[in-house]
Amino acid sequence: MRRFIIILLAALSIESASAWSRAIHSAIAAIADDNLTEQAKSEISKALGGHTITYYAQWMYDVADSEGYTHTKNWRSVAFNKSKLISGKKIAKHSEDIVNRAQGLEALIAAVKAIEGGNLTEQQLADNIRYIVTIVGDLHCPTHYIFTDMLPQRKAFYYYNDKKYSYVSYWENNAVRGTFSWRTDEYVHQLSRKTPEQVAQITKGSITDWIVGNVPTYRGIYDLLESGSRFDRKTMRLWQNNIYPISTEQVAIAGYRLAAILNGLFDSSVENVKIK
Amino acid sequence: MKRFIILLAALLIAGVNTECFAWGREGHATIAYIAERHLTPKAKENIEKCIDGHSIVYYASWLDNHRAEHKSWGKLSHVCHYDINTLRAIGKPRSYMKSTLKKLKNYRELPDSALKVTIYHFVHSFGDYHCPGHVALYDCTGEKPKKVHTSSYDIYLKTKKTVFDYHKLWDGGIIQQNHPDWGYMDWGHALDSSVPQEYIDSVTAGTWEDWLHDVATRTHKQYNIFEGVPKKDKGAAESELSVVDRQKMNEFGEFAAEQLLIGGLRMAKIINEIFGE
Amino acid sequence: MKRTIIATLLALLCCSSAMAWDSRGHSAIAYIAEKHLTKRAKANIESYISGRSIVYYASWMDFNRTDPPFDVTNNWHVDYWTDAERTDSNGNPLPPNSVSQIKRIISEMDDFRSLSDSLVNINIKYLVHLVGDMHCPVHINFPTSRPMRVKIGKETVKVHAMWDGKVIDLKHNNTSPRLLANNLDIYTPEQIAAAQSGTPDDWYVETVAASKQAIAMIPESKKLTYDNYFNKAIAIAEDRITVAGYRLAAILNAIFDK
Repeated sequence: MRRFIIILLAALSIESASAWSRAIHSAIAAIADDNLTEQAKSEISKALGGHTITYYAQWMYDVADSEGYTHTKNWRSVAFNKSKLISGKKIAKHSEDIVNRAQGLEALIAAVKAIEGGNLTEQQLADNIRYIVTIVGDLHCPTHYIFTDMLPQRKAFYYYNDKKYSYVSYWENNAVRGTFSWRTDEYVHQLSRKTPEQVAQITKGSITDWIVGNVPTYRGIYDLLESGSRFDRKTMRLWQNNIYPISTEQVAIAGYRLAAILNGLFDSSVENVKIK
Repeated sequence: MKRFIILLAALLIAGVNTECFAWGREGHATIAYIAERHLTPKAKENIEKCIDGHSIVYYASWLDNHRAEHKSWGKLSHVCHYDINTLRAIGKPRSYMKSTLKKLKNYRELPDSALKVTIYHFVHSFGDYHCPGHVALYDCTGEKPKKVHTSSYDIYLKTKKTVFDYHKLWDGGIIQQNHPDWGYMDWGHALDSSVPQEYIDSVTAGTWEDWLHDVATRTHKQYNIFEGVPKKDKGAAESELSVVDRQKMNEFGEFAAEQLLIGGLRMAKIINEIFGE
Repeated sequence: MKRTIIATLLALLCCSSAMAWDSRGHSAIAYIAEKHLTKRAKANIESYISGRSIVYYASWMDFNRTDPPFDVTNNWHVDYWTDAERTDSNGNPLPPNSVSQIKRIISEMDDFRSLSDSLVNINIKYLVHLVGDMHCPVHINFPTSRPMRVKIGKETVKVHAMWDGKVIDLKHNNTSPRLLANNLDIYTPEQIAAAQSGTPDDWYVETVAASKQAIAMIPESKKLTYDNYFNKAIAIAEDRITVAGYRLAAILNAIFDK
């Protein structure tokens, strides 16, 4: 019994090495799926052997240790020199390991271009769809934006009932789920209800515009916590009340944008989302 | 049995991190979701207009999340008080529900922000008042009402030396123990697949005060959730603690599930009456 | 992420006893079945269970297996190799198992309107659960798989408990059973018809094969990863859950669509 409790506690407090939790990835894919056109949905279903994109929401993580896919571990984040996007070439040469690995946007663009180019094998087509699904999710997780001038802030932490927790890890695991314990399809019920005008606003511009446009909000999350803060149950709750409206909105935005990309690629009557 | 106890332990531990309140998030969301399933299109559209286009489910636990922001958002809106003899609602909780419903009825006259908060209160506290763990019984024969029963007792489960707060069992624990994987849509679907109209009519007959009387009666008389659970101080010796076995827990689980359904159907009735025009 | 999943998995594994599919698996099977019920069968069934969905009762047998009057069902959840001994170590015959119970109930329910409401009610709860159990690979070769252990990371875990829920949880940990059912219910009408053909005895033979595969796939090192085990195991578990759903629908339609 005691062993069980210890392990469970360990599981609850362990730092995630990546991304939004699986729950959020699934939520984003499910919201996107809910906003696919009939044609896009049917084309994608054909390409994925009958499955939905929700089924493969975090596939890129599932195969990250498999032969031929280990390089995808570098496709989960994007880097900025202050607020300026660092280009793919410069990322490869950067001295910081965390920046070297921030090849998410390059990989997303490559996957979109590959599908636009056509001439893919069945396997390549399915893989590229699944890359897009996972990467768009990751690129709407604020902590996946590596700001070179804010690297120390990534080490921010807080105490909850005297136990130390990482702020980055909080965002990835609890920024939404600390307030809502929704299941995947419940995110759709709650968040896939934007008006056409709101959707147009969210999906305006190019993929690069979206990513750069996220920067002010995503830099802003580091202002929401004074590192070393101590919370009890009540103050933790009050603090979280400032965070969940922001985090929940990112899930919705990512879902609508993912749908826009896929509708463009798979529905001939929908315009492709531009890359730049 | 072993799995069951350990699950409860897991819930208890999880509770430390996730802040369990009445019904837990799942239970509150389930009540609001069942209500939503029974709203007329007009009522649904009207009430959602008042809350920025969100579903009422989005706000099912708002009051738990934000209760620390305002001193009047504490206990009053969460636990209902009853006279143990008549099992009718009494005191401040009764007045609170009465005034909340009155405000809702006059919703067109409320400023937007006040209306929002009133809806958040209603979708939460109406659920709370259907939670068996939120029934507090008072002896009203003396000069001042005296509390006789609430459900915050330590209990002890057979075969393992594990002590639980009885209140937490009702606050989410009881419905989550069997189906940790179910969300509110699963609960809504499972409980509310093809509920006969006669059943809906029978549980939604009468006034809101009759409904509260029904909650208290079922809690106290039909299921007697207080029986065999004598009040103990925290940290009482094991031998003094009461035992709830699996069979009893199954019975309580069924009671809790039915309260979710009934609470949702009644909530729908109120919203349809007020926002359906 | 992976570390979190595995640690959580390990934590949860410690607490499972022989439960067959956990709530998520059983609920998903019931959802799939429900989607394939005829209108008349669904209405007939729900009239015996207070207008609730069969999903509500998917795991009911697990919650009621230890207390009277249902403790007699405690051993109905598992099955044995067709070629295995069906006696215990003292030579006594082992209690009835899931396949024979399913066959018994189907025959008893042939004219369900002649039975008491409470008997129909309980038989629905039994069928909804047992058809799921008989498709769970580790519930077929129960005596073989029960003592087996494997390693995930540094921890040693039970193969049985792992298959009961955690194989599915690895991929679908925040998927509600409703969505899991939608994600899995993608077979073509021909594939569904093929899954639904045959008898419980045929299905049993098929699950024996899946069972053997689930065990044979375990690498010699007994150290399991996504790459050497789980990606394949997830596919097997998903297939078992899906066909169990189709078959449950076939059984219930045959009984109640009249």
